[in-house]
Amino acid sequence: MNAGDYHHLSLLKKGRQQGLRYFMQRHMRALTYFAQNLVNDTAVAEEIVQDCFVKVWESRERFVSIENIKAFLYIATRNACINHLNASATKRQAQSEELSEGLPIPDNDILTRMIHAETITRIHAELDRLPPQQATVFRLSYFEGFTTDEICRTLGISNNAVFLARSRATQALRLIFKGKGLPYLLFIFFIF
Amino acid sequence: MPLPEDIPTLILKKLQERITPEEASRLEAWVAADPANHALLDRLLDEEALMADTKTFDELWGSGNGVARFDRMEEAVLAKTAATMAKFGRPWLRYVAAAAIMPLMITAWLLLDHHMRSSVDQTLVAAQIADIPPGRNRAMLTLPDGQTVTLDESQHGILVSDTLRYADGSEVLSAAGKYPSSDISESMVISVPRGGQYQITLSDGTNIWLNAESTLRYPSKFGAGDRVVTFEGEGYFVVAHDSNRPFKIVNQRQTIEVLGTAFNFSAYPDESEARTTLVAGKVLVNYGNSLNREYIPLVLSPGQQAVVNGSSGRVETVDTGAFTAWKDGFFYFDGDSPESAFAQLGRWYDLELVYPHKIPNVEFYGKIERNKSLGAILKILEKAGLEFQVIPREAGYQLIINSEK
Repeated sequence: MNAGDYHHLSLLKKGRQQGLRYFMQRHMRALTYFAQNLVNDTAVAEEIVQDCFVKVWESRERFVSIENIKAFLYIATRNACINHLNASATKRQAQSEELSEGLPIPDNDILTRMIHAETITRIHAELDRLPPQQATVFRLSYFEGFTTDEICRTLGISNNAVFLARSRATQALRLIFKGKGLPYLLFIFFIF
Repeated sequence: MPLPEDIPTLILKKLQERITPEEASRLEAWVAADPANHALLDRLLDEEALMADTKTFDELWGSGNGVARFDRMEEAVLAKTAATMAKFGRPWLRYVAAAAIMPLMITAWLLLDHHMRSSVDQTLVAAQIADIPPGRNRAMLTLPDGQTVTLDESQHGILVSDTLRYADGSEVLSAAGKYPSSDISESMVISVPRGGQYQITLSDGTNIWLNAESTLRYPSKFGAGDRVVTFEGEGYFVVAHDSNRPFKIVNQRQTIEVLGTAFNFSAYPDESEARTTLVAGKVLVNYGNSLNREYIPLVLSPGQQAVVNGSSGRVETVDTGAFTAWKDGFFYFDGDSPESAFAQLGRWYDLELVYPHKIPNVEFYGKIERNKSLGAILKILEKAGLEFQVIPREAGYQLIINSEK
């Protein structure tokens, strides 16, 4: 636990919202993604995660380490997701007698799901580090599968008015998504 | 629940192929501990799945959408916990405190906001200062008698024949008698300053584009033997074919010999490497020790480049377009180092380059029109994470290149 963690944990325990904000900043993105993967409903995932942070606040006196808080958050979120799924499964059962859709979630799954969420969060942080144009180009080429020409047309620029450069953040992404090719396209800056 | 060690870090390192053997064995131990771990690693190493997961995450948290979502969620939590807070202790005191803090927070916000805005303004001012025009058609001619003539900037080139004419046919030298008469050959010099470019067609029909900071010494008329010119700087040569009279470019570091061909020749005294890039035809590059005339030949085929650095030389296969784009009005970077890219900008915008810190670790790719102002170019480079300052000097400007942000 580093000095910043300790400081914010003690702020939280003293009832200062600044402490809570610190932990939201650290965990809310991964946690919402984790919940979204379980319930497959963004609005529900958001609500569950918000409630879990409120629970952290209400139980703030109990925590002795930041690992405590993280474990609490993931367990509480997972439980809330399961409750939501069970509730909606019951509802569906009552409504249409369809049984097959209830999703059983194995218990040892939580840790791997947490690691998954955190790994994806870390990869996405690299994307966040790109300047806006580069991030846009990354999204269009990787997520949407656009070609150079399509990207140029989408962004309304001519093909030969292209300038690109590669920085450390882009290199990290290149290493992660190496198989996709299009090395130049990745990191384009446009003149407009 | 026991929290595992930092598995995401190990997985990221594995993805980027920079995991140490010791870390790899820790990751393996984790994988072996549980089939679920194994399945997870498989999923993360599957690039299609990883891409899909990252996309899902991005839809939640990417760009402006994600920021708004985060703010909304945080606000909801803070609102609920603030209400809880008021339940404890003396509520009125909390409100008084909140009321006292609010203006403070607003002041802090305004200060911060103002600070951020003013730093943006400074960048804009810097960009305006940096609105230095690009290079243009500029050259100076030195006649055999030492007299110099500034060539017309509204013209793009001159044509050497019995007299000297601009590309549109008008006479370069208005007063008669200055120019060598057609039956003697005398040495002429055309030099293009920093921030300039010019074109010349020699008496044999050979066409040469001269880039900024280049000097060509040529005879007013070629004789029956070899066609010999001396050259420094960068030029694109389209040499008229004449199998009886080889065309030779003599340079401090090498001699280029051609029959009829098109190639780019770049040999700036302040750059360690001289490059001859062949577009068409055949070229012989002789480099080595000019004192004892021990030359080593390099023969180039189209698409090849001879790189001469001191007493060593090599042949590389290149995209010739990257090396000839300047004559068509472009900067063309293809993995160029900052030194190389900025040297080109420096010559074209007449800038003195200063690297106060270490040279930034980036590569440049792409194509930019050379007719843009320096400000426009720097704006693009700023998006690449570089920072600049432009300081006016007595003559020209100094460009200070700071490292990556």
